[in-house]
Amino acid sequence: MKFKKLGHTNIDVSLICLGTMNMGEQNTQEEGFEQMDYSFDQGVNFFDTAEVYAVPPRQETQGKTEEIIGNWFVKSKKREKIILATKMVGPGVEWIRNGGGNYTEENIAVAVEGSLKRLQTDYIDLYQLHWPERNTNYFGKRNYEHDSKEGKWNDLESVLKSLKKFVDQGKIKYIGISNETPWGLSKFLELAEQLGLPRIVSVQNPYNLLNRAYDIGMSEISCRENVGLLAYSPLAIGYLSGKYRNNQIPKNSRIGLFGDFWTRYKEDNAKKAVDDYYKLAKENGLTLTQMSLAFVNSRPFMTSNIIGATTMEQLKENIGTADIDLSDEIIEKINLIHSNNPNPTP
Amino acid sequence: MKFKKLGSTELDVSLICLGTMTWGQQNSEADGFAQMDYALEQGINFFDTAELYATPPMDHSYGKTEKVIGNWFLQKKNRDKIILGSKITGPGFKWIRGGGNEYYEKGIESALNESLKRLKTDYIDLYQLHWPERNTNYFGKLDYQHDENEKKWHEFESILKILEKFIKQGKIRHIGISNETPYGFTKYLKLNRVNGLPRIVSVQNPYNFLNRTYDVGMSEISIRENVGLLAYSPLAFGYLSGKYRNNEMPKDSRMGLYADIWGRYRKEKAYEAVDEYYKLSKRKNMSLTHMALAYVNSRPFVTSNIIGATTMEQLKENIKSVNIKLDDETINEIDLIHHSYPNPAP
Repeated sequence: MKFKKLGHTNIDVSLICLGTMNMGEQNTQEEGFEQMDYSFDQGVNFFDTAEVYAVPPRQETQGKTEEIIGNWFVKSKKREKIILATKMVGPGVEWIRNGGGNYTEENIAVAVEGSLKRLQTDYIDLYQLHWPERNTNYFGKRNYEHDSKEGKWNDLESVLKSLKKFVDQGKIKYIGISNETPWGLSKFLELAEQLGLPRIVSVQNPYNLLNRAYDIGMSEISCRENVGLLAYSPLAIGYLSGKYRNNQIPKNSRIGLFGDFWTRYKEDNAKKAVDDYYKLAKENGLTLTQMSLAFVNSRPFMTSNIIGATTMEQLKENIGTADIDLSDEIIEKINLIHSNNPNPTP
Repeated sequence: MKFKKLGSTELDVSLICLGTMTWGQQNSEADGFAQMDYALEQGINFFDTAELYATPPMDHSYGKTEKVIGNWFLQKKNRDKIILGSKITGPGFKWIRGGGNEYYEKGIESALNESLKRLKTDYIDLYQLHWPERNTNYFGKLDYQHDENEKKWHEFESILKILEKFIKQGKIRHIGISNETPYGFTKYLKLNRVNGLPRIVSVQNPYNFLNRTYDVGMSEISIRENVGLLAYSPLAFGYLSGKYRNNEMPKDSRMGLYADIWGRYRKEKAYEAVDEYYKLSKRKNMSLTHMALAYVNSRPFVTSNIIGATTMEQLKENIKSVNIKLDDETINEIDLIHHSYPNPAP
């Protein structure tokens, strides 16, 4: 396994981070345990979860994933060997604090306590804001569309001040953001520097061959400010495994099960791009999965690549990509496909 | 004519800004005078130029455009009627102070004094940095590519301190940036907020149907920080007039004359996108030029749309776009084409 520093901290996190959102829905607790055991054996020391998981988000499964991880900590006694990341939900999820998941001190207190309890631990290494409260472009929205009637949201200074209390109490070690934009990222950094508030150490945004929007304006900030990307959806919900090519929808796949929920990658241009990347991978003796993940792993602004699997076979292939180096020639060809069909599914 | 505030200033600039870069190369001084006379009559009070112009940049055309404008000021006694934007050249052109990094005290002083001399004035309303010194993504580069061996560049703080001196001397009224990214943009704003250095009032970046990357990360900053876009290339070098459709290359057009220099918009997907927008404009009974410019005019983060013309006929059509309002249905259809052809020519 390879390791990188988590932002400005001295923590070495594995280049592959174990995503967990299937545990408690597509995967049982037993399967989750097996994934965590295997990942740990392979040198993965970084797990990412969220209070809203398992996915797709449902009231019945909310918190299940954290519970499974907590149970594994108790059973394996490995809490201190894992850098554990979780997230506080943003607004809009009715069954969590009545949909008012705003980042107030009161809400943060409830969310942190709930996560600590489920995770059966007394600290979270990386506490992330799952998505912004304000109107901006994330979750498949390519462009920022201004809303002159935008509702009120907690200003970022107050959010940082609230989070600082939990950092001071030792319940949170570090903080991160997710589904953010350059405005949010730079604002959080400025406030930390100016007011001595906690500095964010990571940005968890989507990054994959179908969506490299992070390259446009975020990656420069990541590199120059030393706040790396935790890339989510590196396989674009499985589209970049190739399993949905030629209009196939395997029965137990995420699209087979929950296709109505995940429409983000269902685009003609995306299909075309997947076919082009698939051919390139074959020409180079790689699976599309390997090429896709190895590309994400190679990016200089990347801290860790959050993979997710529902089978052990997938998990093994995903983790194995940490050892694959793509040649300059393949990267050039990837960039050519990207340049002809840039970011079909933001 | 419509007007908007220039950033945080009290200046009202016309929504259409007169671009000038063809004067001294494709256009004579007499042509330039006729354009300025007409534009002023139509209510335009905002001209944009650069020491680098006329274009394409050549040693013998350097400074020519500013001279044309200066002569017009002198002859028509119109200096006080115009809000004048000019730019200091970034690194890369040997015949301009050696072609190295430009944004140091002696470089700025010499550039500014020479511009004032050519423009026959003692102040510039908006002095812009033409492009960044550092390695970043502009001029057709969609993605930021980190360069570990990047050469040294002048810190923004030192640049702002120098510019502040010339503001205090009255030679510059306001400052702006151009061809910038979210990193640069937010950094300049922070130095104003935290260190009390001059606040930038505008960003001059490309924005047109073939390149809406400004929507991804810059537009949110523009709106939330009240620093609007001065959109350049709103017609994508004329591609969005439709004149290069079906592989046509009119002899006196910019592509007919200088195709080797300007490859930025010559991309397969760009041609396809132009055809789609062209068909839509026909269905809506307007010229592609009008639809393209009216769209830019309508964007909430745009302060002014910098048009450029080589004939009076073009100039008239361009300025008239200010009176065209696109209905919601047309905007939806534009966004649909954009969705299928996202930023084919960044």
